[in-house]
Amino acid sequence: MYLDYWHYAETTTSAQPILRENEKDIYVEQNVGLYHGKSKIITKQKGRCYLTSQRIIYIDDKAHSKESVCLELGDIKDLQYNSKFLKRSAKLVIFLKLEAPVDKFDMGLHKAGNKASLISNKVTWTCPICMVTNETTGELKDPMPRCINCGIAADYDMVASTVVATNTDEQTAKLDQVNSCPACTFVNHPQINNCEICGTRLLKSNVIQYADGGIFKDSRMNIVLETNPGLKEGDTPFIQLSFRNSDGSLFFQAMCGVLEDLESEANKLLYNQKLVSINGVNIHPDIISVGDNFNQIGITSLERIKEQQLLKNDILLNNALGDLNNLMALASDIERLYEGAKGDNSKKDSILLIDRDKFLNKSTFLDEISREIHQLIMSEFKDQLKKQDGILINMVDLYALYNKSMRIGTGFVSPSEMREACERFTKLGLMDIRLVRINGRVLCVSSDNSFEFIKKNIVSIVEDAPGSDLLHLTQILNQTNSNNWAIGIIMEVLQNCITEGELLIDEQITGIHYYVNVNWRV
Amino acid sequence: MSSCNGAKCDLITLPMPFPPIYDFPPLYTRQPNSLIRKQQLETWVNILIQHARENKGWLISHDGKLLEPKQDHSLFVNENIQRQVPDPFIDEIWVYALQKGTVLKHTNDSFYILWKSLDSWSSLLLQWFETTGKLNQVVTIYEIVSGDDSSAWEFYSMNEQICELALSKLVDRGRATMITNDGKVVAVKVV
Repeated sequence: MYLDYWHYAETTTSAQPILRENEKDIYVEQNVGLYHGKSKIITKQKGRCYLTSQRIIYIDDKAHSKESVCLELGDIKDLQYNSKFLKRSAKLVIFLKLEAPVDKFDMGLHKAGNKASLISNKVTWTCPICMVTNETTGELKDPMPRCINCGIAADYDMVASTVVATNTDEQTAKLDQVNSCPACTFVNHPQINNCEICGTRLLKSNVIQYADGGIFKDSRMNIVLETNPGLKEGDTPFIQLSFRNSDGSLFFQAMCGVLEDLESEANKLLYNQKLVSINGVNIHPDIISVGDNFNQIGITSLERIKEQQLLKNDILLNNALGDLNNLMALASDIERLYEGAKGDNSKKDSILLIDRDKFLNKSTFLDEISREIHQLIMSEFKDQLKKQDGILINMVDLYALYNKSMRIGTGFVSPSEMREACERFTKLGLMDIRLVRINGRVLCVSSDNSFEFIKKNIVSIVEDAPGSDLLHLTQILNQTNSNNWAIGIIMEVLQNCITEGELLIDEQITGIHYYVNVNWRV
Repeated sequence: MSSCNGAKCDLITLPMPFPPIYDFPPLYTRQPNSLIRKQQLETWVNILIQHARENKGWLISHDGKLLEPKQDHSLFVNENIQRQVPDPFIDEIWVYALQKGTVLKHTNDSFYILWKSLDSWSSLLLQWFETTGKLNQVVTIYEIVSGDDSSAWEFYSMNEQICELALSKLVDRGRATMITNDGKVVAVKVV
């Protein structure tokens, strides 16, 4: 029952979720178990829970590629937090919406859709006086609508012969099938949940239907319940997150914040959505929702347009004043903040702290960084790993690479943190690469046998071309392998060869030339 | 005498026969690995000995030029591959050679080069005394190194100082007595 709220979550090889475009992670909670209704979900009892700007993602600690699931934040109706009691761990109960939340995303954002629902019963009739064809929404009943041209109310008997009711259901259905993005209007595949371009949640995403009407089932989903979840048809469905390590209150707070943001985001683009009256004048919904209609003709319509214009101006001015007030309040807030901050400069937070907020302690933060670094290396050096036996990157290069590509705008990790993170590879089960020390001084991230591999390579190059210098070696290595063995690494390997007596040096003004040691065996 | 002259002429006209490693560029750079460097120094000492033996050289200057017989070409410069041993490393080579006893200090700037050890020289000299029947006679140093009787021997044209040192080995063994004049050894009597 209600299992289709869960979706499969894709993960990287480093056990991190693959986020959508525009999706940002906000908080990570360690050691979380999942409940569907009142029942435990078997095989999903120990994992990390990522809170992102769009989803809650559960990544299983053991089998992240199989057991990871996610829940759309848009499906969430309400939250309830149960604190720890005796043996029962703290739980976050998440109530879900029964219906697909179309309205919320739709209103104001999607004009076409809005219109479709407003004019669901469009009626056209011809004015018996001026013969203008009028369009009216809703049924033709008292009070009868006025003709837009001559402004005289229609008499039902007189117009009855000309009334044509347009059924707009077809139109609406057509709109639904298109599955276009409310934010960027990109037309997505009907079975896609989130826009491919901008990542915005699509309107009709909750229940995806095949052409034959069957509900789409993701075969990668694997949910086995321990007992009966106790969810009945018609009840508000709910799921629970059980926090085994912490009390989860931080997660709860973060989630409340995200949901609030989400709601205000959805309402932001609505133009005076809750406005009922201005200066005592009731407002017809048309004024707000319907834009310029160039079809209007006649004196009465001109009058109405004028009236609407005035009302709109009023709204605009009111809005502007309100905005101005907000701005002033914000300015004074900032001023106060500034005054306050001037007092104690010593408490200034370092830039490094920024995205550490979502971790409870340093260890979990480092675990996460470690996974991220692993992912970066694996993707960045995929070719090299495939074509040859190994990769070898020194920490300085890696640090630059990582901070350049991953940390834009969110602060940097410090070198010592990076080192600690790299030391955790093995502990986290990331076996492909590990941290090694070359020549007892240079720390490198290396795959299993890469050092021996490149050493063998270098010796054989020198054998073929005695008197090669560093430049020549680098060129040959990088030309045949189309990747970048850093010059620093090559230097270290050469140093190692010299210390071990495999290579001899010939120092000239032009540089150091290397020769294979054949005469003087160690 | 004539054969020696012939040999000398050959040495001047023909290129000096060096082992192939003499043309190996890393030989001219001080190797950072100490184990390797020891072998490198050993190689240099061997080259020194070979060079001295080929040229019957007895005295060599600090910068690698033979002084007896006089040569302008330095051993530490290899024109073929355009390499030369840097001065600090030359110092190291001399220190190593002195330590090994292959060379003896002559002046600050030159060394006696012993392509045979003093002991071998002394026994060779003793052999000479015995075979030429000069035991129990006073023989001058000049006679030993430049006399007709020794022209076929390896120590012919030997530096007199080295000869003295070799003879002093015999003195130590109680087989010879030095005869000095004004503090300078002029002759020896071997018993």
